[in-house]
Amino acid sequence: MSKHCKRSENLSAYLDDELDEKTRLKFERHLEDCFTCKEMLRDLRCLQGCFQTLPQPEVGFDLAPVVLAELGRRSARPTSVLRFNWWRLLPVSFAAVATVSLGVFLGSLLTGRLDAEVTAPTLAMFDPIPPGGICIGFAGCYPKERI
Amino acid sequence: MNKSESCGSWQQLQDHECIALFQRGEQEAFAELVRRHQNRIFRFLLRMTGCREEALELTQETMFKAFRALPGWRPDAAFGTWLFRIASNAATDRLRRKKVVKYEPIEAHMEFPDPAAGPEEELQSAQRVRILEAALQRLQDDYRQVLLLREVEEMSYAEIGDVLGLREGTVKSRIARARQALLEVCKGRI
Ligand SMILES: [Zn+2]
Repeated sequence: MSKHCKRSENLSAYLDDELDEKTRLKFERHLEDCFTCKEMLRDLRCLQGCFQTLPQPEVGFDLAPVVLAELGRRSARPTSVLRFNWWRLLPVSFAAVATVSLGVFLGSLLTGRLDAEVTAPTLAMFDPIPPGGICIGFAGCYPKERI
Repeated sequence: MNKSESCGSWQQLQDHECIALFQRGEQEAFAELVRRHQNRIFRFLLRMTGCREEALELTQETMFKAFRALPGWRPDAAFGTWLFRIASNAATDRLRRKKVVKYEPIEAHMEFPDPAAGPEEELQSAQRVRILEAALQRLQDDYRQVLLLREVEEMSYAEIGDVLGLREGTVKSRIARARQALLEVCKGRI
């Protein structure tokens, strides 16, 4: 579409017979002299004809029983499940808060003692004396290939 | 409306009569409304989403919402228009969530069938249809939406305004811009 005419909006409405009488007559006078509008009107009519030949695909079966059955299924669902009452969750919320608080409290008691107890067994693992052993660093006690 | 879509005495009733019966507890009246409108809604959603499964799912969702809203429904618009409003909102929501909205240049990566491939008129017509379908998928969503309502559903500007919640002036300019965009893509190919 290289050429444009500022009246092309009226052209489209003219094609659809949606202009009021006065505007339509005025536009028809314009159309007599405007080559751009004439050409576009021809193209739009061609396009309109093509729309008329579009295929009409169908659902292919009766949708009514499907819709009614689905509606039946949806309405059969218990409404109490669908309805949300926030106040019903209050006891559960209190219980949850109490449980978490107790957990945090007990946890803090445990972590308070932990530092002191952990050091002894950890150091024992790196003790140079083997468990039950009496010899420190005497090479003859250990076969060479095992060192 | 396809006659085979309706059955028995229900098909003689108007939409508003079916709605009145449904409001009095007649479920089969709602089933009749679904049968009448399912294919139009499905086609629209298929071209909006470009996916059959998604279109089917959204068509069902549209009908669920209609079922829930119908008991208090007031006929301020035609039932069909009102259904399109629900479907259109559903499609817009889905496309926004998927964020596949690609405002890249329209011609980029586009695979058009070659219009010169089939010399016969029938083949050429089929090619033109494929070109148009491909071009529609490349348009931005609000342009595709408004063109489908106008060119396929043949709704008036007032009805489209009702479906999309827009003033008629906005509908008018959006359709004009959408056509311009579509022409730019299809020019010389259709
Ligand atoms: Zn002009």
